[in-house]
Amino acid sequence: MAKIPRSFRLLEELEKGEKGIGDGSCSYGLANGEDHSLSTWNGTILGPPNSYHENRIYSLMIHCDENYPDAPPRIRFISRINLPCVNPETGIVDPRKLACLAHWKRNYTMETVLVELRREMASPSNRKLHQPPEGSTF
Amino acid sequence: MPVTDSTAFHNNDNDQLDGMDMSATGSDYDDDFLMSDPYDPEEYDGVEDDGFYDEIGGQGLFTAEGTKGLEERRPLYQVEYETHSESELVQLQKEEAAKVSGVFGIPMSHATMMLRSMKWNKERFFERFTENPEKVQLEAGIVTLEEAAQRRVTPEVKQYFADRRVRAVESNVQYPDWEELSPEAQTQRNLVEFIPDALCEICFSGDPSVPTYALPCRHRYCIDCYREYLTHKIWDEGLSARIQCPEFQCPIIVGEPVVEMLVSSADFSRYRNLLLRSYVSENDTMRWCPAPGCEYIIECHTPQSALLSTVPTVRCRCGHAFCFGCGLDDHQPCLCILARKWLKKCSDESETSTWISVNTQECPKCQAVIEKNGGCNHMTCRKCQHEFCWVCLGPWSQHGRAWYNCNRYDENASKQARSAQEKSREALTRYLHYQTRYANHERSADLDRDMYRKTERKMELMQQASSLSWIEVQFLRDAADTLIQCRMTLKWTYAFAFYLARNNMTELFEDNQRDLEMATEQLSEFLESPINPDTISTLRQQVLDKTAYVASRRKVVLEDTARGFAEDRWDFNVSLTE
Amino acid sequence: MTEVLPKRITKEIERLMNDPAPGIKAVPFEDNLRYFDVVMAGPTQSPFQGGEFKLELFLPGGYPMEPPKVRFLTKIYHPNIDKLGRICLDILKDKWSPALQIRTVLLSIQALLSAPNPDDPLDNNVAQHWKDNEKDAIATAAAWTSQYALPGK
Repeated sequence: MAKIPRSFRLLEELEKGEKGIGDGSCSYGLANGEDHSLSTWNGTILGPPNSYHENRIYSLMIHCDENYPDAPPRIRFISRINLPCVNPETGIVDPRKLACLAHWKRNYTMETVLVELRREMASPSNRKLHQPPEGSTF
Repeated sequence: MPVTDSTAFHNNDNDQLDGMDMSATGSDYDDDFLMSDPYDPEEYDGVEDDGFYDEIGGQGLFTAEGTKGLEERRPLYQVEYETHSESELVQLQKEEAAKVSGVFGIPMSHATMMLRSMKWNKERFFERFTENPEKVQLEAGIVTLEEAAQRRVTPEVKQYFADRRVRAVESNVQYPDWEELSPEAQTQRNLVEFIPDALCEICFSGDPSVPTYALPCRHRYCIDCYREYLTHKIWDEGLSARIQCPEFQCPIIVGEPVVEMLVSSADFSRYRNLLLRSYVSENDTMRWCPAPGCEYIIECHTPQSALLSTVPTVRCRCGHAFCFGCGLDDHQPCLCILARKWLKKCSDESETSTWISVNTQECPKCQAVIEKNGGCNHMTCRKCQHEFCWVCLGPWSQHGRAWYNCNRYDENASKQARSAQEKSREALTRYLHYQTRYANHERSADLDRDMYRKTERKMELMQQASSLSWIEVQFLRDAADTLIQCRMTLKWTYAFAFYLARNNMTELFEDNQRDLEMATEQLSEFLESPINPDTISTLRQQVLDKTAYVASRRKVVLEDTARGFAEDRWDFNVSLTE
Repeated sequence: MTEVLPKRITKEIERLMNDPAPGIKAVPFEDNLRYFDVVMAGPTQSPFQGGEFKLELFLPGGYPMEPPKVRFLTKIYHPNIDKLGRICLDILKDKWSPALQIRTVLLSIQALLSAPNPDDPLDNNVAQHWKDNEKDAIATAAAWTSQYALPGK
């Protein structure tokens, strides 16, 4: 098996993100288009329908360090959100509380994480959770 | 079409519901049409059949027999086209190759390969072939065929392929069986050779136990690498007619027989499929029907350059009506470019436009849209930092400290700002006028579909409970199809009208549009009428008549717009470029 | 989980080590023999002359049917190389042939440095600069070379 190095893997993800992924409910891109290290990314999640999050747009910060994709990225919500896996003080996603981060595999991508976070928002136990005012940030 | 058909429209229009008056005179009919129709109704003879009724199995007056024997002239708004199935297309390719083969006295297989390498452009082929036949033959892979024919396959090579079939599972390399190959592909194996000391430039292995192959360009690779190369081109790059020799920048095409003898039969059938796809996609006169799952191909010779004066609408054998020019769903009578502009505008403005018109103002300086979310009238544009008064839109600098009360309404600056704002407001109102009607027909078509489904169920039940035959309850289907088709046309007349610059011809267009709209709404009402076995025959006649009338109004609109293009009497308020 | 490297790749590595192309050094990483650390000397008679440019190269699983992936790590001012170091070169895309090699790819990239092609740009601003005022663009490229690509930096 050819093991794709960090940088080329992130460039692949960048290209996929530029083309737009899935139905457009999640997106991501480099925070700084000239960042040679490809470390810091902005993500957005469109709140899932039939939940408190419907029509809200959540921004997140994604950090892929030197060990990515062997190790999972670090995720922090910029927009305030009330979710069990998100620290209510800092917005940091607790890697132990999100399955794809806790059981990270090398072929997982930033898209995997965003899609799972969106699924969390829509889960029966979370979708009715009371949320901070729209537009507020951590 | 026969005059009796038109009298049906006429009767119906006057709501004389007690059957048809077959003796109604042609002059009534003329008057009726002349009210909105600028041309001699005589010219309308024979243009009624747009294929629609034939295809949906129209009844009574509108059966194919009803129009048979009449001199038919194609209406202006229709283009000529043909629907082909994939197998018909293969046949079509054979015919084209046969022509070329006959003209130049060359074998069919050669003609096919050369035409394919010229993307089936016969003119280009004639030109290039007369100019330099050797080069064309070399590049298309013909030389390979000829060379192969002069040689014999060695027993060792035959044995190699046979061995590989036996060991196919473990080696994961499956070559097709000799017997499965076409004669051309069998001949190609004559060129497969064991070359001692040859170094394959792809795998670098130099394994003398693997035979090699080379096109006439002499770029030789071992057949395992060749096979892997072809499989990659077929599956990962989706290539077929344009697969070249693996060597960098070598233009020689790997022809069909070479592919056939080297790849598995599954890969080869995929290759054949891609060849057909590329035949369609490289041919400007062909287009796949865009309906999901539909595999028919439409051939239409309306060139792209005609799209500024024609809307080449076609109906596939599957029933899907679409524009051959751009592939969008039927958008007659709106030009492709205007349809694209309209759809883009609708998605840009989206639902927010109404809200914007009520709750916002534009910055008088940079026209950025600003929402007022507090009580203070001192506004600062976030985009250009211009400070202005919400009430009079004049610059704030002229307001001094009177922030709480704007009394500068009649100041010149404010007037100018107001009028600029009114203009942009007016443009929005105009857009909303057309957009509302466009969207309304779209929604109504959905509602009509629902209504029809409900009625259809009722009819089925009724058919079971009464002596009515299947054919007698079918009229509603035709009516619903016509209704929805008319709504689509109406929808696009509004997009068309939005871009139409006013001149004395626009009124005529709007008259025709209104007539179609009224008739359409009446037909829509009929579909909602209660149905019971006692009145069904009356209803059936009413609906049949109204359906025919509505369809005729649609044709009037389409024919008039088409004629307008022919006579160059439409002016637009946008440029007809992207 | 180390893979058995295809013979083709082992041979290429051997050749790169024993007979390197002038001005180009490509060494595979020990823990991933498909991943190469590349140093390329800026070609003479170009604004990149005197510079030493670092690149990374990776041979994907489909190699040699698929082209290698290559990226500049050193900042460079060139119309066909973007801010992330990605390279616009036809042989790395649709013009790839399995008969090409790591060596030929790197030589092509070096040739691209000598002959920028502003008509097929990856970075529009740089390309425009090149078209509007080639002399000035070349000066900028030379300045970047001495700022970011000096040997030992």
